[in-house]
Amino acid sequence: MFHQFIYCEQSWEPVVAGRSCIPFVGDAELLNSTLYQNLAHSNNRFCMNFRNQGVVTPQVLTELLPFLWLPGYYKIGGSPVFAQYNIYEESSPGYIKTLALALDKQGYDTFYCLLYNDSNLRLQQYTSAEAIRSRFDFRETALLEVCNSSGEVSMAVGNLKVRVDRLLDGWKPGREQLEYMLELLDAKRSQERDLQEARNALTVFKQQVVQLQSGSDAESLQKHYNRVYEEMPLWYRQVGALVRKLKNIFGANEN
Amino acid sequence: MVSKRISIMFHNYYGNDEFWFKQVSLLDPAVRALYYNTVEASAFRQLALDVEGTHGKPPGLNNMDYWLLKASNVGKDIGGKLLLVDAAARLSDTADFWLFFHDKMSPYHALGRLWSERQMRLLTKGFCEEAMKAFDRKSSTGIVCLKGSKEMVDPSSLLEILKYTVDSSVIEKINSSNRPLPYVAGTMFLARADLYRRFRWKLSPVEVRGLLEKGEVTDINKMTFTHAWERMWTWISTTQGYGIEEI
Repeated sequence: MFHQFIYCEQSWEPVVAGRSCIPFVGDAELLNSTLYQNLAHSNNRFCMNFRNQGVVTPQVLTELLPFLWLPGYYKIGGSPVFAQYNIYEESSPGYIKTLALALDKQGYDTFYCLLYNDSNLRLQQYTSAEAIRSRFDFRETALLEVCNSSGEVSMAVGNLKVRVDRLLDGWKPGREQLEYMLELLDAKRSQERDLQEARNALTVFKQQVVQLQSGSDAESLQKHYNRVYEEMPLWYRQVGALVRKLKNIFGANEN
Repeated sequence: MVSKRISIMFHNYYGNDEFWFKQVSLLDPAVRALYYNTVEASAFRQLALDVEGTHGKPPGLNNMDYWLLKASNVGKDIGGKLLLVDAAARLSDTADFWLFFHDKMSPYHALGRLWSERQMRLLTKGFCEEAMKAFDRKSSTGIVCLKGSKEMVDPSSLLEILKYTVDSSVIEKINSSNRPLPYVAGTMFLARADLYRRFRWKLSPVEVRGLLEKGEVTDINKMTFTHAWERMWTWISTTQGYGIEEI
């Protein structure tokens, strides 16, 4: 399934697992660039394994995240996998939260911890949002318990509110983006509606033009015009015009 | 004949790899390396049958280095370009010039198709040769872009966003002129690589990417980190005293 692991220990000495190791001695920068180049060339699958989860900090992850984008990094459905040797030991909540925060920023909302030993594998899925939230809930519950016992409930509630606000702030960009996309969707719908109305109007207009062009009205009008104004002698038309004028004058007076 | 002086920083979202590899292979003698970032979560890539086809060196690119990245969808093409710049630094890229390119389609924009047709000229031998001449002719030219892609923007609204990610001395430089600044729309251009290598990054490119918006973002009626950085991509060069030339 995969051939290599990066083991990262406190000394930043990576070893490649599957029983065999690639020892490396050097400072972090050199390590990154040489290891990065080797893994970028390699067709083997690999993933990170933090033997000591306590060393995983946001700074460390910033240095190591670029490995995730190499084509060989082991992912399940696009979500990165982190290995852990002891199958019976749960990942520490702090480690999961740090991973979740860093991965969430880089657009991974899910990740996996692959727990393994010499004979077994266990796969644990985490959602970044859940991992962040569950850690938060745990701390707030503990805080409430302590404060309740010492009678400082109002302070606890105040703290809780501040923390909830902070959490919401943390999610603000996502929420704003969602609202914005909904706005866009609305705008698009109203545009489509306008477009449909314009199309309908255009269809009616086209029908009118076709009717006019079909000639039935135009021809009869032309015939009427020809008969009244073109075919009659000039004196007849002039008398007709005089009669119409007189009619207008006397007609107006009658009314 | 141009010697191998260019590395291409290519961000791909819409798949169609074979076509792009073929286009890049036409530039063979001038290009030293192709850094190719793909978006794993892109629906276009998931639907395509050539997902695994990107593994291993594509045909036609035998004479250049080829580096593939498979990334998440953050910060659109700018997110991809930040990763590519980071990867190039880790892989000790030595090219004199970087050609920033992405498969722009802008399906939400009426002119999207026109833009995508026009950008193809960037991947031609003729453009690269002309650009090399422009760089050699004037040492203060930092960016060569397509004619008509230079636009002006008032930076004051962007500074609020940029100040979290960019060094204060750079912000001062952007702010000092107090009038609209030119930038290359679409962030596709050929630039002196050193300007990007020695830029005073307050946050590393990967950290900057962590602040950009996820998924599809448009700036139709709202300013975003992603679009502020789209402008910043040009200003990395101009704040170091280098100009933009259109050809």
